[in-house]
Amino acid sequence: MSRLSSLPRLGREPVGLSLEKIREVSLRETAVRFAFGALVSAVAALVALRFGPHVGGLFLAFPAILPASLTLIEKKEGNEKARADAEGGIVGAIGLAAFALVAILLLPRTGSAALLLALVAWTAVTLGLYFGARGAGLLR
Amino acid sequence: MCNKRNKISRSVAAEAKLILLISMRELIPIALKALVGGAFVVAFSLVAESARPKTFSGLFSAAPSIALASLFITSLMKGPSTATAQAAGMLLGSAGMVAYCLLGIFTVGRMHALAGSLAAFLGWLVVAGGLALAFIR
Repeated sequence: MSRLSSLPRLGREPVGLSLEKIREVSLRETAVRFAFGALVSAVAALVALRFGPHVGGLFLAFPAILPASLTLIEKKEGNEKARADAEGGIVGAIGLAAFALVAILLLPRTGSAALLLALVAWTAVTLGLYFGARGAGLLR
Repeated sequence: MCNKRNKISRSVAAEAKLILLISMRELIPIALKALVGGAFVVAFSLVAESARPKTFSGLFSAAPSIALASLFITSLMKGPSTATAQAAGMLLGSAGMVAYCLLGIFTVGRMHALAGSLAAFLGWLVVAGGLALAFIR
């Protein structure tokens, strides 16, 4: 178990990554997620082909795996945990806007290398907002 | 008469061949995007699965998995300008994603996760669709 950080707040689970939990993921769950991801990617590409890249781009920020994730979490850990996952999703979605902004600014200059910086922007904004909101007591 | 018919059938066959060729040319990037997009979704979902607490794990449920795959392949195959236009659409879509998660907290709490997460699509549709109607011409 590797711990990223922890906040000394009573009753709050510390933040961390548990690699052992990956082994608990079944092949069926992985296949469902792959199918969802592949389907939405194909739909985004087809929509871009038919209605243009701007409309197709909308689907790059489509909640593709959230329904599957929320359903699986509720089944395994209860409704409260599923709602907590959606709360974190808000922060991740704000990070998606930062990803898109960096991509818009840098793609014309640096080509596909811009996507690496856009991913760095997503990570920085998401983690910054998450730990900020948690520190302020806005997130569990 | 027979000559004319032959000419027509030959031109129809040539056109069908051209359409097939164009669709095959479009099919390759679509299949690539589906494969790489699916793989990225699995990679981020495994990180989400290993993360705790669930609010932290939720960050990775809204990771740019499909965007990374699609924009990378679009940028390589169609050039950065098409990828930039897609990223602009994605910016509007991300506002819809925020709306989805906000609505999802309430709908998942009041219904089961499956029904609640499906109902929350309405939030994405209204916000992303509304912004698209306002800004995309």
